[in-house]
Amino acid sequence: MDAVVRKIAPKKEENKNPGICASCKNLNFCTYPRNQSRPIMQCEEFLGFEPRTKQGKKVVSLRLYQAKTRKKEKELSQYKGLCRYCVNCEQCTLPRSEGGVWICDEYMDEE
Amino acid sequence: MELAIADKITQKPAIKRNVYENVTQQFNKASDLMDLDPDIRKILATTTNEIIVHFPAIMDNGRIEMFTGYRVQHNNVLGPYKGGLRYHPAVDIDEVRALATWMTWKCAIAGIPFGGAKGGIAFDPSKHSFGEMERITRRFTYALNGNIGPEYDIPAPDVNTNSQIMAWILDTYLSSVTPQERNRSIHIVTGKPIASGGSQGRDKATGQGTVFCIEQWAKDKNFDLNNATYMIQGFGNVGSWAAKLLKPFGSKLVAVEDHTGAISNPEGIDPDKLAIYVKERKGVHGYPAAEPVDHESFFKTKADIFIPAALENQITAETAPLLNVKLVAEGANGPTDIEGDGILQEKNIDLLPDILCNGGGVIVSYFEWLQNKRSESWELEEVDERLRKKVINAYKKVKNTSQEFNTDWRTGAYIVALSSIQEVYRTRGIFP
Ligand code: SF4
Ligand code: SF4
Repeated sequence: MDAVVRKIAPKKEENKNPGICASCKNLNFCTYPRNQSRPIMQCEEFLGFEPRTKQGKKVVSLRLYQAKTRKKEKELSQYKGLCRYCVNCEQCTLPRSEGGVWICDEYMDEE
Repeated sequence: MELAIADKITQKPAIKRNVYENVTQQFNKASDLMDLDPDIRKILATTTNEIIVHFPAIMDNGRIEMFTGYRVQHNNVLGPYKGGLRYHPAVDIDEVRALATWMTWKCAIAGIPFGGAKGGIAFDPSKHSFGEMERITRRFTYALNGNIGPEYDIPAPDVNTNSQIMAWILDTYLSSVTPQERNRSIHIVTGKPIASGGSQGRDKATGQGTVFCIEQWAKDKNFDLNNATYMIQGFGNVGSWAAKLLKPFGSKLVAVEDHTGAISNPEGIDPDKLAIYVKERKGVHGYPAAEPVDHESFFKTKADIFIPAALENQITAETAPLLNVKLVAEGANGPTDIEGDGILQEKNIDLLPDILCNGGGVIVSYFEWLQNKRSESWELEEVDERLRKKVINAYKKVKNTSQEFNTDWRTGAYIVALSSIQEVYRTRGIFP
């Protein structure tokens, strides 16, 4: 019983809604007067997540992304089709056509 | 005089309301004044749909994390739901609900056939890689499923979401429809990159709308913008565009404040040069052709026009008495609180309220949607011309309504919005 009481006893008062400032890159040096009781919901100077948006950059698929983390991009670029994602790729001695391998019984996915 | 007003306010300690509470108070004031039908008031006080989805996404380390996403649809009596998607840790149902409601008023006042919505995911994007962001966005889109659609609910960029995120949503949505439907569905989101169906003029739209409003106000008042002085709070997208677009009128920018501090130069600050400086240094602080000033001195600057284009609750009981301007043109959302509003009225400072003055953004989003729907691509001049017509139309409606009801412009703007919604409900009735 005691233990239960202790468990639900005094909770630290916390600011439930810090607003958008909490994830703004300007936060550390922002000089705008702000008020804890009025969390900011909209700010024209909010600076946040900026993904690479280079025009024409191909969006990386999960599959390719995982493959990229295992192999260097340069090495990958010479393979087409299944080989690109195959864990045996680097050691594989099977003759592979230039156009890429699309059906292969030896293909092996990671794990 | 200024002190007397400040004293009056400070005698009764002001309740610090958040921005949505300010909006609710405005809604109530306008509803009372126009005698809004109590049944319609009941409908508008509630949201229509509130969708909460919990969905998994694969992290780079191969593990799965669960996320919570929201989409709140407030009202679609004027047209499909429309509103941004925001990614930040504090996103919750109350915030999204408030902003969705705000979108309904904004679209109604701008005279565009959209209703109000808002959504988001509660997480911190800075903790996630590019690949994770993509997978979270795509999986959220998939989880929302039929709750968004080009003729039903159209998301747009907001806090921490940009044209890249919109492109992922578009691609994911298109993958879920038949190939025959794909080209007919690219208006599922707005704020897309131009190459993927975005509109010309989107980046400057909000600043441009603000300047069109100021231009019209100057015409009405026989006020010459040539050599007029103005000050801007916020030199982000809205503030910098407004300044750049006021330059050809011969108006003089005399003070600027942003998140790095405030600067002033009574001889004038060149907006183009300042924009280049800000791009390099990430703020106005240290700009060599102006003097640094503190927050209070910035508000005390003598100028003809003040454009708050940064954040909420900046013109308050503390700062409104300091202002020495003829017009406040609200480029930001909710920059004036209730007390600040009262002081501006007592000081006879004209006000172009946010839901009128910064509507340019949502209007050009509507143009993007319309171009996609019609398989058209408009030149910048055409976008600008159509935007001008829409903004001036809205301006005139607000002006006439404020005169008719003998009220301030903010209340007038709300009455315009509520009247157009009320009219539709009256003619359509309620099913069954
Ligand atoms: S720039 Fe705006 S969002 Fe960022 S910390 Fe300052 S007030 Fe908050
Ligand atoms: S085993 Fe088959 S799929 Fe794998 S690398 Fe060799 S040829 Fe390619």
